[in-house]
Amino acid sequence: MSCPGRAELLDVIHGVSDAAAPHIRECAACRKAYSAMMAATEALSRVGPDRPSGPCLTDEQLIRYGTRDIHPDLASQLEEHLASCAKCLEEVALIAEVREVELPEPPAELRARVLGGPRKSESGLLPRIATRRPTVRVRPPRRPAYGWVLAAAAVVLLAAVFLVIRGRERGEVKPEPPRSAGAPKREEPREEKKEEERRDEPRRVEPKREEKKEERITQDPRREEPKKEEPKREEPRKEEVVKKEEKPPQDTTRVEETKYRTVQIADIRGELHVRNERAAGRAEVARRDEVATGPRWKAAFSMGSDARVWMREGTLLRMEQTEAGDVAVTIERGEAYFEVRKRTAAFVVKGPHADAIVVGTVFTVRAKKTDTTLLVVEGQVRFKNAKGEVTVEKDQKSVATTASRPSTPVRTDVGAEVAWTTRGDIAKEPPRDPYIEFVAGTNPKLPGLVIVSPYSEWEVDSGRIARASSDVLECGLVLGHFHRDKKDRKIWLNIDRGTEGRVADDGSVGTAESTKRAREVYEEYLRNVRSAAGVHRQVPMIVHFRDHSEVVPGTGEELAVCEVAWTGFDRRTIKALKQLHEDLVKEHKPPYVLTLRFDELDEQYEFSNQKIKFKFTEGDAKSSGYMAAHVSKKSIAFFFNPSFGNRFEDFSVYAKIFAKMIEFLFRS
Amino acid sequence: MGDRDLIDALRRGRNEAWSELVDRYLKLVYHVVRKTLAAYARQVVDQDVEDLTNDLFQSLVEDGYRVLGTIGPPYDLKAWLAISARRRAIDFARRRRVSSISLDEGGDGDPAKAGLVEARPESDPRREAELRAAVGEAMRELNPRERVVVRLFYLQGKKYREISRITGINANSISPTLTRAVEKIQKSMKERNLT
Repeated sequence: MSCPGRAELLDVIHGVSDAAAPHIRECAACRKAYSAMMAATEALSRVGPDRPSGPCLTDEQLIRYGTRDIHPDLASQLEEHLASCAKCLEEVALIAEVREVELPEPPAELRARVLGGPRKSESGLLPRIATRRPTVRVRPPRRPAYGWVLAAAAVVLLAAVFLVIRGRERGEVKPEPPRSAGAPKREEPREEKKEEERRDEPRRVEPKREEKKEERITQDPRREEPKKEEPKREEPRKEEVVKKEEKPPQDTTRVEETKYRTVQIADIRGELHVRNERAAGRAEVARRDEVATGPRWKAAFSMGSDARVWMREGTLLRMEQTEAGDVAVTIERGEAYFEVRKRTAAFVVKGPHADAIVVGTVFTVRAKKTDTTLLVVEGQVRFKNAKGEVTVEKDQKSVATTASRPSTPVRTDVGAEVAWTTRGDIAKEPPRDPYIEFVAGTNPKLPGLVIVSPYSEWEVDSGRIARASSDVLECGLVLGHFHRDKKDRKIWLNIDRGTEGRVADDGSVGTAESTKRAREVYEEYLRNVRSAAGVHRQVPMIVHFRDHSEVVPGTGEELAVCEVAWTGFDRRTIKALKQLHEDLVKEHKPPYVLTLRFDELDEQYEFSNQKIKFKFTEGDAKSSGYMAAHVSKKSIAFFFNPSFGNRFEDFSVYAKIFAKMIEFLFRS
Repeated sequence: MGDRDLIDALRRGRNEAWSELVDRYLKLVYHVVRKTLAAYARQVVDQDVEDLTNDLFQSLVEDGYRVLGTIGPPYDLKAWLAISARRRAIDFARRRRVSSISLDEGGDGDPAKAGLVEARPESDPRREAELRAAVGEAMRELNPRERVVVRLFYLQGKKYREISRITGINANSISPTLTRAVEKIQKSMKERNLT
């Protein structure tokens, strides 16, 4: 047998195949090579990476990689870290393993034990087992309150209310005295007690209080026997007794109905979902209802006349209001900004790691898995968890985790942190100044894909279809709004070209010139595009949605054709795209069918019995402008005719059609 | 019912959803806890495995399944529970380790393994440093995916089929990748007179 190759030697070392083993034993040269390879494999088996490259992967990244639900480009980026981090590598290996292996059965009694754990109510509802207070990140926004006055006495009032509530939670008969004579006190300790009892997230009891009550929530609930519904209270209060007599411990529904009222929210802006349904205008929110924004859009709403709330994308809240007017908002995840009018009843914001109780202030809460952050814009906010408390003042922030008390407040640029609340779609009043906004792409299968509508407000239709299509694809989106100069309304800024032109009285725009302000706006536009592209360092593909208004020569009739310019693709792909559009129209049957004409394929086409020369070739855009190679390697621009935009009902159908066309192009 | 619907049902308080969750994933959590303790703990006690498994499920229930509300796309409960179970078991093993163990960063940089891995046998520190340098130099010549393959095989003991499943690489490509890595290490070791 001739000497085996290195791969065969390695197979013997790895135990994959021992075909070469007899020869190795007989051949001195092969034995030497074998020994050297053995030493090398031993080195590889002993020496790991020095330190992980970059931060560990998020759970989503780990899961997507481990389940192969990931674009190859994104996988490559994650592998940079995986190659150096044993922890993440083990976790993705585990995720991949458990998808396929046959798992052994656990002991039979374990199932009964686990099933017997959670308490079940007679109403069929699983009671909420509160083992720790939900923590709330309360970040006061920097935005000035809408004319609401924040009095210094509010701080004292806050303290009083806070202490009273804490007192009740510990089962005290009386609330603690207010810290200030000026602080209003709760009228009815009994009512407060009632309110506290109803809270199904009993607070941790501090050590010195523990002997006063045997509230089981202070212990690890996972070690407990099946629990009763309400936390045990030492003081037998009338309500509590009544509660016990009235119902089995687990029935909270009847208690809730008598003690809580629905929260009325109104003036809803942006995209808000209540009970998983899109809410518009106003809505009623019951205690267990989820109030959420999706992964891409923000929302805002008012709670009565007392408060206004802004929610960032991916935020989930629940809210409850007692008959006495106390409000508790629980942030399960995400970020919310609050403007709370000075009030006598408590307004509590609960997050995963700390709570904030306010009576009238402006703040923001950000809830993450690992910590809760509070930022104060106006006034002061008490920020507290079981480890301790701090008072956070204007322009300060504090961070709390499960393991630590809220951090000492530090000064921070709260304005930058809450700038997201000024977005046009959730602003209390429509913005007057031009701005550019982006939504980052979240679809791992389409990394770097961005749909842009630079003149979305001015050109109306393109913005809407761009937004609808990007929502279907979950890709990046950039929208430009009202691009005139802030002060001089007679200037039109071409935000994607770095030029500007003067606007004549008849509305026409003069010769485009490159100016400093136009170039600055262009740089801002490019930053938005890069941000929308997400993790991708280069933007592989931009889809432009724009409007045009052209007439047929001689007749003045609207040229109701959508011309499409493209670059970076080959003709065959564009031809296939054209055919795909026709097929998709047949499949989806939109009420109004766009007439698409493509650059190079339809250099001359017929419309209204006239031969029309293709106009929007975007030669300069391709060579040096918004379709140039330095901006995007592949690019396509749709120029919609105005009559398409007037048919709003078409957008959802055409959003699906465009989504499929764009996805086809992305993969070409 | 998909995982996302199951999460929604649990958070709405539907009793049958809890049974569904337990029936669907009890085996998985139990298996992962046991396997992790076997790798990280001094000994595996059945009671510990059962307690940790039960603890994990009870922690899901807290505050109206609040923790499930933090799960985002792709809403893969199986994968999420697997890594949650692993982390919980590792934390437990770290708290419960009995003997004093080397406090160096052993465990291939995995903080979870820090202090849990036996100190390596006596070796020449200078040689170890040279070896580390040789391996580091050779690995830098591989692309990230190849480095992942090498790590999975040599440091985690995964088989070709498993590596293929994890990375998506064709199983036939794994052997050549490993061969390439070994050759680079050999070259690097030879240059440092480590052979």
